[in-house]
Amino acid sequence: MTMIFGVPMAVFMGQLTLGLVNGAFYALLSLGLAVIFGLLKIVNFAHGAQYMLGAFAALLGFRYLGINYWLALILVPLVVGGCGMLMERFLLRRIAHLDHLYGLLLTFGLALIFEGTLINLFGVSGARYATPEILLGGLNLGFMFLPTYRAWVLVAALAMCLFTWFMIERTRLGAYLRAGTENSQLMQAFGVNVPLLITLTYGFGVGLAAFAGVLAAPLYPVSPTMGSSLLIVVFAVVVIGGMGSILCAILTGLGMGIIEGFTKVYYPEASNTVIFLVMILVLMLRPAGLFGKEA
Amino acid sequence: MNTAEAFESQEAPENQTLEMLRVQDLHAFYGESHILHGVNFDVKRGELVTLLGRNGAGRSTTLKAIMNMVGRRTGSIVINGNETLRMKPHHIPRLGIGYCPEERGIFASLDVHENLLLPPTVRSGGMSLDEIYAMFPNLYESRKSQGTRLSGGEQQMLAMARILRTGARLLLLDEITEGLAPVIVQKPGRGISAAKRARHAHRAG
Repeated sequence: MTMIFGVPMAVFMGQLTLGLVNGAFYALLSLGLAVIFGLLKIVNFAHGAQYMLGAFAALLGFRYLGINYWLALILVPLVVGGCGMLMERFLLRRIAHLDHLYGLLLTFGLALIFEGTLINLFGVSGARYATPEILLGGLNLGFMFLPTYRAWVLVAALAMCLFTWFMIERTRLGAYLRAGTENSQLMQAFGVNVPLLITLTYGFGVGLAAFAGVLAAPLYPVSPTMGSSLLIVVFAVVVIGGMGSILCAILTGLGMGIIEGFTKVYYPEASNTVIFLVMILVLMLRPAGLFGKEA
Repeated sequence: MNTAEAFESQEAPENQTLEMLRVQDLHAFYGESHILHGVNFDVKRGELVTLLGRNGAGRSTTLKAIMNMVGRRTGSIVINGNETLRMKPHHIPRLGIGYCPEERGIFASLDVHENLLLPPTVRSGGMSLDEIYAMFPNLYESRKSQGTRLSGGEQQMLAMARILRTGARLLLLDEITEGLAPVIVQKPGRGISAAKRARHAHRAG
């Protein structure tokens, strides 16, 4: 068997794929966090819960309404994102003029409410969401076995990241978002409806989380706590990357996934902590993050 | 030099009053501090009005208060016959006002071209992109570079050019020569005159 860096090729490539898939989730989630933080200056602690709601919406939509995976991939982000917009309009906006810590507390509280309610209704054990038939099985690439669903997740997540990048960096609405992130008061003075822009941005960020949730549903057990554990890692990824550009959030997400994957091969004991170790290192050497601008 | 300049309106029949802006007994507050104490002035169509005063006299605050960018305001600000004291900040520019802030407000995350296109059109009949680039060739040369990479003078040109594009009839320009080298202080003035001529030419044509 071919060996690469002291491990069988298949194991090496398998962990690389796994790392990339995890990294794709980190990228999607940290992207949403960064976009929301940029304009609203709020650390959205409900992000993990909104990711979980995405997975649950896919599960329940299938169970009770017969909505299939592909439809869920489109509908769920819209519905959960819409709920996010209502949340922004009726809750976050009321405290927007206060210290940003209040936003953090409010979103954290909301996350607890979402989780608690679903735990009450469905318990913590988690349910399985069937992988769509067309994505079952895998491809034998000769040097490794590539599960089709994981390949699909990677493609879909990266496509969504690129779409987000395009929307923000190349469209007029994106220019509004970037400018609003820098100086929203001046945008108002130009006649841009900034409150509406904020609602749409929050909805978009939440929609990204829900999209990630639907992608994750066939991979991981769908449980009310699936978001909170992931979110902590995503926060570390955001700290590592810094609140720089969109592309940087994507690259950091993927990079951290890969590092985590390889740690599983070479030193499995550290695989759960390696990202936090990187975070500490980055904070010591570059406090604004790898790609962040020094304040 | 903080100026409010009113271009002649093209919509003379629908708006018979000569006054484009009337500020009466304007008081403005930032939190607890009371900044403006009863400001009164008006700007008529085609007029150029300059506010003079020492540092801290409240010239910038007056312009910001007109744009509803301060904490609280009392009194009256009538723009083209509309009382704007209760209006939301983003509705005020749509009455045909262009605002150029003291710190210029060029966006670092946007290139020059994007900065120029950023403010939404508030009235028809603004200058076209071609006209603006013809008037400010430097901006055309550096249209792909980051907005804040421009020199101070060029940034000032950009800050003015972008509101000339919106079709605003009333320009609020805050210290447009601040921090510029003496040799280029003339430039913003020429920009205003050129814009005014262009507007008149528009009207004739």
